Amino acid sequence: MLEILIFLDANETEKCQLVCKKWNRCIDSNRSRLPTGLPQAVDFDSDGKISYTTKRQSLPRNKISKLSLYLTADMLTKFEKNTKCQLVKIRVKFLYVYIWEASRIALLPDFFKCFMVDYATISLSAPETDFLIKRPKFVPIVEAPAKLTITLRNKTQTGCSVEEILDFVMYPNFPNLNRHALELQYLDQEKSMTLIEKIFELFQQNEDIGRYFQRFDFQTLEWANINRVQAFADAAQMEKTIIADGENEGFLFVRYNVTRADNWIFQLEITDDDVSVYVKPNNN
Amino acid sequence: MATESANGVSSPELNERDVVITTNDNRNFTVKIGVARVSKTINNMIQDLGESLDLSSGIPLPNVDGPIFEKVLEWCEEHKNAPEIKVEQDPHTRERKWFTMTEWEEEYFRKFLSHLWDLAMAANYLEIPSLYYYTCQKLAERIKGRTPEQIREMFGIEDDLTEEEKAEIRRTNVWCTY
Repeated sequence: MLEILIFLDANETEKCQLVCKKWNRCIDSNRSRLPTGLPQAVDFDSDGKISYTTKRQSLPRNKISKLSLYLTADMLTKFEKNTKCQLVKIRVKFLYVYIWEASRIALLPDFFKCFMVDYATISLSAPETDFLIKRPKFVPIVEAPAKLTITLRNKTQTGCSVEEILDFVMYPNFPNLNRHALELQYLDQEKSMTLIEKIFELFQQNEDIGRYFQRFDFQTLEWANINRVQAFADAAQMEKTIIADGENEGFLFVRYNVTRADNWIFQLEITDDDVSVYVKPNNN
Repeated sequence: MATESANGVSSPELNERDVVITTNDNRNFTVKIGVARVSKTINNMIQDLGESLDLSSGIPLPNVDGPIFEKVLEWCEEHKNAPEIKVEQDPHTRERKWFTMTEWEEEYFRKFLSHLWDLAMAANYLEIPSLYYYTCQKLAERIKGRTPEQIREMFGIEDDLTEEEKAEIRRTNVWCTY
């Protein structure tokens, strides 16, 4: 059976799992020998061809590999020359968008069509980030990442507005299953605050924002602004809880809650150096 | 009964001699040793038996039926002087590279299309790499592009997966478009 399947590509092999239990078991337990494995490291040859080596032969697909792919301008330019190359396609688990280096945003759609990684790091300049955020369709991800991190470096703050960021994260054509967290690093304080207020507004208007992300992390708020977040939470009459370290009775974080009629919860967690916003069903 | 030596296995003279091979349905096939040796399993038997090989009383093949062995012999006759095939695999995708078949080989598989599984099993047991890998490729060719339903129908396989199991397979296989 395996000697037959090995002539087929990954999609054809996966199709054969639907034939019967015996074939399904056979494919499932022999993935490491079939054309479905995951590449472990990606590199570009001097002639611009993408190459990668498989270090581990056995890598069941339902386990998450920590494959990190760092896309630079140079890599994407080389990729452009080889867009027809056949690559193993795997799903995105985490997508990190680091925005601090010039690259080739226009190549991203082609790249994502050909290559999916568990951890993808994309370096974009501020104007390119604007471009990406204004055109969410440029990230044609087959399966939503569990976590999308957008890192905005201090010196290259993107010019995009809070509304545009919201449009991006709520883009209706994005797959929305399993998308749990959006992490915004170094988003400036004013924008962070405005975004928190917008998310709360959408929550109050019964907008299903949790469909897109259930957690938003803002990692750049300083105390001055956290006071503003606390003032905002108090004004919205949110229930306040101070969570302390049980053993040392030290401060851990402050949690603010407000529950909607449909039992969805808007939750703010404030620590010394970051603010997390959760919009999720209240399971308590 | 005269017992002829099978030592000196590479001698052209020995290759021209006949050996009797008996399949599991007690059919006897008189085959030139040079043809039978395309099968590594039979070749090993000939080498192992050496002096004690009785060419006339036969080599037993308990795992192969007469009708299939007949087809296998046709292949062996055609490939008795063929070089070893080269099996290659794409190091990136792990996909096996497809072999290019001759007109004769294409016609052979067209003729025995409904016996591909049996041929593959026999070729595997008899260790005939060319027949084994080419048959596997032919089976892959038949699977390629067909839906699971068509594959089941073609090979007479029972659909014993529940809808839940199928949904789970589709869910975990991002690239499965069937």
